Amino acid sequence: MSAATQLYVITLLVYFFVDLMVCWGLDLQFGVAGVLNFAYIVFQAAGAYTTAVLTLGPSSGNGGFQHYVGGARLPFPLPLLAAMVVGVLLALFVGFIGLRRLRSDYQAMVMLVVSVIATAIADTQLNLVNGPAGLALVPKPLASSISLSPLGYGWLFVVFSGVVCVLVGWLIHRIVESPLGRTLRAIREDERAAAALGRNVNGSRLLVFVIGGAVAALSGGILVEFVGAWAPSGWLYPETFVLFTAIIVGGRANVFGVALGALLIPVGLQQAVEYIPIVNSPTVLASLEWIITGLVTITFLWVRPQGLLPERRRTVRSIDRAVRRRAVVIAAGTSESLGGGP
Amino acid sequence: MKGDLLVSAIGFGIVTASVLAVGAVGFTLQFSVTNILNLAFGSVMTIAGFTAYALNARGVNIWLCLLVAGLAGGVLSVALNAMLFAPLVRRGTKLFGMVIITISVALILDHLVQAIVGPSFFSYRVSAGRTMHLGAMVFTTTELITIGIAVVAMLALHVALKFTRFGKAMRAVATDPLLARACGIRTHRVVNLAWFLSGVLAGMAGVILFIDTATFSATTGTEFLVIIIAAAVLGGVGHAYGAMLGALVVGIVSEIAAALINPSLKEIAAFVLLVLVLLVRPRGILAEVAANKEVVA
Amino acid sequence: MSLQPGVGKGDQADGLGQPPPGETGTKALLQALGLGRDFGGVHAVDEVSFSVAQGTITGIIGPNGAGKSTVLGMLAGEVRPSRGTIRFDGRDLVGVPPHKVARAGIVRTFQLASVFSHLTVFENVLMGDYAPRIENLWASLAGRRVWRKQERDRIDKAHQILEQFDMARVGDLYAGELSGGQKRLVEIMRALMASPRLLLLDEPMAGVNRTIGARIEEILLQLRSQGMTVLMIEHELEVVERLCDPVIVMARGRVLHRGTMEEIRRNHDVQKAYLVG
Repeated sequence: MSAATQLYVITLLVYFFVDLMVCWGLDLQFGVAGVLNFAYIVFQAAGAYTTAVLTLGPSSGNGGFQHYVGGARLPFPLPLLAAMVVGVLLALFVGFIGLRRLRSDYQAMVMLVVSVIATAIADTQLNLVNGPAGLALVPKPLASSISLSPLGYGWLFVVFSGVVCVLVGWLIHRIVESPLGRTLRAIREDERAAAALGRNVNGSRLLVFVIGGAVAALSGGILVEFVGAWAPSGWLYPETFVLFTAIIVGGRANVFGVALGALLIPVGLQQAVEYIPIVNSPTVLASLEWIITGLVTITFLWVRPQGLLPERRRTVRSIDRAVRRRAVVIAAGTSESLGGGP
Repeated sequence: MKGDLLVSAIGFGIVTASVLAVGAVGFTLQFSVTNILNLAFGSVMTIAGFTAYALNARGVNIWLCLLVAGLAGGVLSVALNAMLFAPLVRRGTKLFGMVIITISVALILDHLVQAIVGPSFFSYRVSAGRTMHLGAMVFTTTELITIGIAVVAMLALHVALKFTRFGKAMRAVATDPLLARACGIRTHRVVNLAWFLSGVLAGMAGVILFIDTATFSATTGTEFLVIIIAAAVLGGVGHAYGAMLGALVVGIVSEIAAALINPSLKEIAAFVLLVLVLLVRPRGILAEVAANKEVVA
Repeated sequence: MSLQPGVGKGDQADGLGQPPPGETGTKALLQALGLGRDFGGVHAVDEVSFSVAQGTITGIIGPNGAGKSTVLGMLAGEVRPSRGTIRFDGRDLVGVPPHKVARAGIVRTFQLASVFSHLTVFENVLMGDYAPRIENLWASLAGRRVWRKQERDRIDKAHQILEQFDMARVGDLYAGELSGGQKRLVEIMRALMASPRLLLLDEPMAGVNRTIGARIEEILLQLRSQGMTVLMIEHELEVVERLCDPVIVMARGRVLHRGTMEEIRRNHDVQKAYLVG
């Protein structure tokens, strides 16, 4: 591979891992627990800003061309951990305001408002995170202590983001396949009934809000360390919509479905649009990308709302298997009755 | 001096509130009847606004354009429901699915407009007219007409909801669709009428918004929708009078914050207010209707 | 028991402050006193007092809009009473949120059978058991080793309940794929999985065919013989007659009468309320 191709592949892979991480986190909220968090991208942004600010050093220390609060120069993993903490705190705050006793679509609307507020704040409060220009020249982690060529470093970063991504996916998978996961799915299906069976609906929603928030913040941190820059125009509210599309297309509440969606939509579709030959204006191209994303979403919700890889049916046999070495006898009668089902 | 500034800010606030009120009432009216949170409302505003622009640019008077735009908004709104939203609801798409559908429509429509008109900004051909002083408040004739339109629209809607057969039917459907159907109300017609009225209000809100902001682009409507939502949520979604109240509060508070503290705080102030209200009353100020609906849903 | 309990305010509060004569000797598990709920200035429910004795199936009947479901909602913690108290086993339940009411041992079903549609029947039943020790973040991150044992216990219990209801065949179907009557059964199985101390049923026979209806009746009688306490709203008077004693009659948000079904049939006020209301 030529250096340019390698760079392209490296970039795509890092983007894919970051998108996948975010989609899994959002799917825990949306696909599993039924929380419509239209402010999801804000958590990624919060993580990115936190990481950037804690890597860049003091605001006055870089020639004064960008202004922000709370600058520091912390060693490598700390900014990412701090980003997660910020993600958690933000999730607690937003969740406390927006999740209480509201219908799911109503929650979605409040979250949309939150997303727009957040962008408005970052845009207009110039000294907070440098306004519309955003933060730039974020140093790459450990770049000085690792003596690798830029490409070598790139591949190392791919491995790093891949490992983090798989770790995140594995932890979320554990949650989904545990008794807690079943409770979350039940809340998604009917919150009133879940509460009538002793489940703390608001508490559970807040929990997935916090987990998803931490994951999104972590992904933002990784992304900003890779790209080196972050600005409000990169996390407008429709960006969250792209992630929803990925989950809907791939298959919500299915780990592999979500992975497929993350590959097809934020990575695949956006790359594919670039190759449409007839359009030569970049703004029309951007519009076209959104129009296609919107059409894909509507088409899937119309034709195949469960997505390409639907949620797995948890059979009695599989539930039994999870706690026993062997399935119990009753499972024998179950399989034939399934054949008669609709 | 500070007092004068405050009073003049309230004047600006009333103009903003007028635009907001027309939008918020349209948004909430359709929601209360159909139970769909329509985030494509802002795109209907934009398309109606650009329809008015197309006519206005050919020399048609802006107030005549406003009527045409209202009609266009109504037709578009009914068409969206008939072609997309209603069939999806019949296919069993759930509430969250519908939110995602309406947001998809918003993106598609906004970007279609953008692809056609480009990313630049536009203005209507309208003269601001003479300025009038009411104490420290200053209004242009255009602004006064805007306020007048909002007041007339609100009054007309109030009378229509309260006293006409369709209005009563609409309120009945909003409270309990099944019961309303059982009572012989043709819910289908009522729902269509709600989409139409909401679209008309969206169209009008679009034009007076574009007049008020002086310049506009393909995304202005949807950007403003968020403030409309803030007003509607503040008042208690599904509650027409709550929406009017919310509009007034959001409009005035944001202008005061902009005038007295910092212009960059204009929108943020409205949102902070919304956050505070939601902390105290999670369903908005006039929440009874929204709360009852929740039991029904 | 007198045939004419007061309908007026003071009268009723006095009359029901102490247990009604028919109930002496049995323990009141639940006691509602002067419950009221306003919706937009209208008294949807007003001055409702009654008690539910341990081991009985108490019925609530009344015309549409009598406030029956609102009362049930208040007992379950979903609707906050505007006035009055609810005592359950010596504990005040007003202001306690639904999930804590459920944990205290009051489990309800809904008028429209509300199963978890996209969970299997078996999972629905499993959800009846609330196990805070394994349903938390740490247990799920720690993995199977931590939650396996308790999960196995409730899986066994769920198998038993499914067998008992003859529903093991459909254990793998999504609850949303069932008929209305089967959904109702799932809802009841789920409630029983919770081992409630008081079972609240909101029209358990609504939308249920005869065969399943008869089965539900059978199950309820069996539960009573095992000492379960049930409070149910029901429209079909024959069902109420067969199952419930005592019966509470509500009309226009108030308790009109309380007694056996036979007494109620003879009562003039009740007949009038049904005809007029």
